[in-house]
Amino acid sequence: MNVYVERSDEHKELAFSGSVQELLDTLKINPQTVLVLKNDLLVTEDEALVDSDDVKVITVVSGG
Amino acid sequence: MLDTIERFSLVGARESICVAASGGKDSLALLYILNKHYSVDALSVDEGIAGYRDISLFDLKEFCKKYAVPLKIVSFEDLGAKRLDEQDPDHPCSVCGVLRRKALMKYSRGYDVIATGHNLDDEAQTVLMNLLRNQTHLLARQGPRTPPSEGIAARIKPFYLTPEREVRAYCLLMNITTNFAECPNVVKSFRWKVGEALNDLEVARPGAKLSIVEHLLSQTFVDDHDSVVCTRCGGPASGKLCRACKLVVVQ
Repeated sequence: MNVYVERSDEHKELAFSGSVQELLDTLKINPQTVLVLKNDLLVTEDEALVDSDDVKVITVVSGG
Repeated sequence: MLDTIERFSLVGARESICVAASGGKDSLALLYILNKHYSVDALSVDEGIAGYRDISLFDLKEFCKKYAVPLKIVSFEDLGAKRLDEQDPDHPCSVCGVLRRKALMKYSRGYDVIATGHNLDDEAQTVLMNLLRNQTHLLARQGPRTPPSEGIAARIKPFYLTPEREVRAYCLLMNITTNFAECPNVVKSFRWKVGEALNDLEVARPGAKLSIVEHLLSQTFVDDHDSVVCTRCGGPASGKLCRACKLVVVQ
């Protein structure tokens, strides 16, 4: 799975399948601070992800 | 947001509206929605932080061009202060906040109201910060509409009950471009620490932020600190000079 984390501007390649919530737990990211896009569509924390998905973790918290 | 405007009577008939806009998600979403329903102008403060404000100002200028919103950009130099980059203060967020508020207050004169993009997260953070600093008199100034005084526009917060995540989601869904830019000073601030703690609390107890702000609304707080007029600028002050003028004079 290709995961882009906006705040750190990082691209990660992960072997992962599970929910958005589980992905955020794995990445140690508080779900209150981000929104998640699966294949460019906004999804909720209970959305299932599979290895072939393209995931973007977008920062919510104001930067200043 | 429109429910909040109605619930708290934030905008009166025929009132002129200035929107405080940084170019971040909150102010662009606020401009987008208000511009659909009212005639608005945008006012932005360039505090002078290289590599940060120039990114959000670019987004703001593009937005205002696209939606034909008149935009005025003022700087700390317009107040007689140095750019924040050149000040290098111990507590940059405090200095920045005081000067930004001063600039917005000064350059929104002539409008009936100035709308800011403060959201539910900002408001819950401010309640906790004031409690943790034992500055409970400041809670009296924290409502969704602060009345006008001596030529100063009333301040309104239409996102008062809107969570930060919903504002960001709205920007994504409406294709409002906001490039991520983080102020290099933000993680040093007390607000940042309080915000992180609140996000942990919200996960443990969903609705915590809203409960804090609704509790504030259910109480009556009195600001019993004397307010006088600043001898330099005529704005509200607690002593001879207001905090902004003290900063400018020291420089």
